[in-house]
Amino acid sequence: MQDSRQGEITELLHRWEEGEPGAIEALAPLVYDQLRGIAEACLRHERPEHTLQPTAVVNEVFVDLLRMRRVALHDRAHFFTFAAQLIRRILIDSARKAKTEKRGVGWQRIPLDAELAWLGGETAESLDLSAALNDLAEFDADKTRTIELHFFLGCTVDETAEILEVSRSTVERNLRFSLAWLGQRLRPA
Amino acid sequence: MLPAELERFRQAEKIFHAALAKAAGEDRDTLIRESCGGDESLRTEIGGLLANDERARTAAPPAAERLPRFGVWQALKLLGRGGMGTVYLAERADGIVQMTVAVKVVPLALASPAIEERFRRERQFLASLDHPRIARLIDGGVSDTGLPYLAMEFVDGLTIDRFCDARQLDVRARIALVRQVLEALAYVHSRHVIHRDLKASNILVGESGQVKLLDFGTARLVDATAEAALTKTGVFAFTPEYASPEQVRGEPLTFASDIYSAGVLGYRLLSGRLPYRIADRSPAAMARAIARVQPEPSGIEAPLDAVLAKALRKDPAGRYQSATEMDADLARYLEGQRVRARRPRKRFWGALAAGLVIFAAGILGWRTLRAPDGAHRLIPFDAGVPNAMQPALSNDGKWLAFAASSSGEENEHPEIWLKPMPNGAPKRVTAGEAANDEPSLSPDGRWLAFHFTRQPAGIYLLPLPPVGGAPRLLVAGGRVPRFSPDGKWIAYLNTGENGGDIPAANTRMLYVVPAQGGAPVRLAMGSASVQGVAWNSDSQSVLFLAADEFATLGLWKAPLNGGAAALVPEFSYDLPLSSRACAVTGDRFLYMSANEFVPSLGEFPLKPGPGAVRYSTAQGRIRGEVRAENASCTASASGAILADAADNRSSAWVLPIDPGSGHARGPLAPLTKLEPGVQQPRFAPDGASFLFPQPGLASFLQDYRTGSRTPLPGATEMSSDGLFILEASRRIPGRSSEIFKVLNLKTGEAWGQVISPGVIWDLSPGGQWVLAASAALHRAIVVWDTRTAEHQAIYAHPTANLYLANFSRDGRWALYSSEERGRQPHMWAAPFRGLQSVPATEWVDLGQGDYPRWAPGGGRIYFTQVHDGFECIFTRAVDPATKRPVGPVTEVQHFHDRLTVGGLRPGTFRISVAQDKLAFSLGEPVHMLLQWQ
Repeated sequence: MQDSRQGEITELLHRWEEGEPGAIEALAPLVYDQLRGIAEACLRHERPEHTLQPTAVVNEVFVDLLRMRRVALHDRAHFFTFAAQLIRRILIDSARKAKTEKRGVGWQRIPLDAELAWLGGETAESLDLSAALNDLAEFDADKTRTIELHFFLGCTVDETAEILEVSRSTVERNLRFSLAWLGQRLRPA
Repeated sequence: MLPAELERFRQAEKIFHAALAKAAGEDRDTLIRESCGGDESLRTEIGGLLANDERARTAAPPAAERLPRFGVWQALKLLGRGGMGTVYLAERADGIVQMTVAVKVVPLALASPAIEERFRRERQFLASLDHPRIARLIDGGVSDTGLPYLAMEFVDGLTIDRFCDARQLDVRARIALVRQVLEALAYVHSRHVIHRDLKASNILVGESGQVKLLDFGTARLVDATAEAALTKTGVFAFTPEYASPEQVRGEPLTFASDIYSAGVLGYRLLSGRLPYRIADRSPAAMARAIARVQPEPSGIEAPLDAVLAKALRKDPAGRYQSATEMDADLARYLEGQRVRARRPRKRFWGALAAGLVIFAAGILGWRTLRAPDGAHRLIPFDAGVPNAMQPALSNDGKWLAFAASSSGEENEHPEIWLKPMPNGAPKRVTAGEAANDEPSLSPDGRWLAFHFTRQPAGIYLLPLPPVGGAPRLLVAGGRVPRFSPDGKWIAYLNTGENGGDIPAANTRMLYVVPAQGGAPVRLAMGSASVQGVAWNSDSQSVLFLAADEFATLGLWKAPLNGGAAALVPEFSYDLPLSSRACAVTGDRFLYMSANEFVPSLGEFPLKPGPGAVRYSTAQGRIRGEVRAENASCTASASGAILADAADNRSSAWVLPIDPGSGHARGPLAPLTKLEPGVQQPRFAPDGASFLFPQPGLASFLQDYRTGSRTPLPGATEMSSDGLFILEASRRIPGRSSEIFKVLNLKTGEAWGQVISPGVIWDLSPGGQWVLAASAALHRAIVVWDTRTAEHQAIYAHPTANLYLANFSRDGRWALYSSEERGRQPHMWAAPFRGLQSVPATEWVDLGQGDYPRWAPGGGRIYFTQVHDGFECIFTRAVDPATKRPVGPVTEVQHFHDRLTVGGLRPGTFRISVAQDKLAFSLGEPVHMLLQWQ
């Protein structure tokens, strides 16, 4: 990571922690670019041994900041939910791009968890999936966050539980219901 | 979201889980029937959910896609998606009337309350507006699925900018479109509504050339209570490219804000680009540009340019006072009459154009810019003394004063040197027990003003040879003195060290004092912190840089004889915040800044004119920061310019200690040479050898006495018994987890298991356990079994982050620090019982401190605390059995001036404790002078 960019991210995290409005929004493009860069590199087969594991990417960003102790993030959960949303946005943006460009850039290859993949294997449907996730959040934002963390960011059930500060069984129940609900929304039985 | 719908959702969820608990078949069906209590649609929904659950489990093949329905509107296709809404083309599904509409739906899950509010408001505004240039509201409601939506008149057209391009419209036709927008705007304003988000993508033009305004989601009634309307809108509530300066500043908005946006739109349509050249589209950079940078001349006809410039004035009062007024001026232009708007003074544009060169370069990357003639650059200047910094030339250019502290000695402080220019030998002119720095020479080279740190700290005056004499205190508490070019005054900064009227910590206020002594006068300005001081060449005013509330640096001019300091409006560069004003030579104002840690020197023509802008960055490998308040450049009247730069390096040091008292029993000695990067040895408890982890993993084990080295590639940690090494063996593809190998140094036995992503803190004696930061939650420390990869968070804090855990030599205790916002780091000892977690009630409170480390005996800890503003090493005895503190905190090693713990990247510091010595890495800035050539 470039020093300057690292510095900027650090600075923004500080400001975010200080409660400065807008800092998180300013942070988004920086982290987004970084995440997308790594994701795209994976998909361009530059690192063929890699499948995209966004948790790893997010951790890299985070651990770097942590090592420097430039951040004393009291709310790592906040950072992760934020990153999960970004990852989702990356996937959706790319799906949209693949759709408009009418070429099968390997975004379908993103190893969306098989459980989620059945909901939206085609690019067009991942847009609907996103809409359905938004719908779901209208009812229960935590359910959407659970999906984002688990399926988009690739957190384990335990990690998701830790981040959302709920029990493991709550995460499991939420995942199961949310999948059924999204399924019902996207392709009613 | 209707409460009833939410209730239903929750009910469905409850029944869903209850049903899953029963086996499929009779029992489950009965449960569903009973739970739904005759609500057939709920029962159907549960059935659907369960079927989908089944399908998810068997990963059913995908079925056909379906578009949503909103009330009577069936979506036909997705038209677009944005942060503020998803828009579908939809048709009436009840077949009563055939009609297509655009349906806009709430999108963003997490912003839902705000977005819903926005929808509600938009609907309200649209309902009250009825104008041919504004897209009509047809219907609105909440869909079956609980999504609020708006059905609007569908305009089959292009956004205004695309329309212009597609039709290749000429200037007059484009102006006609802008006039339609202004007409709509005039109507909107007449309804006391501010649109607040006027931009090309919100303006559609139909086939017939009819303009339609869309998106009133951000609109506000002018007479809505100001607070409700204005607070917390945030940077992203509008589109930065079109936002007005008052909008990005979060100030109250008037109709003039929409006028500004109309100006941006006109500029874009007529010149083909935005008024600012902005390469960096980060919100902060955009906001800065909008608030500060003057629009570039549009390059279009002068009268039109004048109209746009008037709409784009930074000051709302300077703009057209109504859309009708702007419309009328455009009408005048089209009719060949003289427009009312006046072009700003020509030289103003000239200066701005010059400024923009630097501004644009600033955001495109400083280093790509060279002086126009390519001749100017910063090159190292040999002052004849190493570590020279803070250069100060006499006005006649005959003398150079500078501060320097020689490298390699413990606690060396800077002294001031005087050097005849250009080729004379430097002579030291101060000698004291503490730092003498920040020199400034009187124009005749006979007096030195400088800053002395020992009490009473402040600004001192020293008569120089041939007269000579003792220094005398001029002002207590002052810093960075600067002689005026006529030698009569000294300007300086008061940082509040000795009290004074300082509004807030870390602010620097500007004062002047007669050089012959007298009462200091504070030069009037607000509460901004002054960054660097430069006398104007007439000695009548002082120039300085200071940041506004937007964290944007401006150039200020403070007159000497009363009168408030004022911004120099032409200075519209987007400088890095660390920039410092430093000198004026002739009509050129000089400043130092750093971008990506490369020091740069810039100049600004105080008398606007062509061709005076030059700019230079350091050449070669000089990397430095401009961050100290004394970072500076200096210039003589004849135009000689010197600057300084600092580079941070580090070296490892060893301090012999007495194991009993824990105190130093000898001087601090360097273990390694000063090099870039961090050098952090880990000593074995007997102090006979140390592991030296290296970036790139070329680590080695070194015998302390003989210096012989054993390569240990990948080694990162040594166990506290000195017998085991942790090696990063390889990364797992796709994961940030690494496989670590534990190596028994005696037997060569090795084993390895996956360790979670995160920071490894320490390896246990015996090599079985690793303490690490928790992967998911940083408020916990996790222990890993290196043989089985079992792991468990064993120390967890509800609110603080835990850091730097390390094992006692016997492996029965861990020591770590906690850090919480707004609090000093705190230290804790806790029993270690393998995978068993230890509640906070069992932690032993060791008081304030950071980077704690056990002494091998287990009866003492070493740690750091901030003392006199410097992080210093302390020790405290603890009971060997209970680990409760038994003695006072005492200082082991004080650091000030040059060697600092803080000079390192935070978090990279650690104390390694052997029986008879401490080892740690210290950062040290290396200074050098640079010459503008």
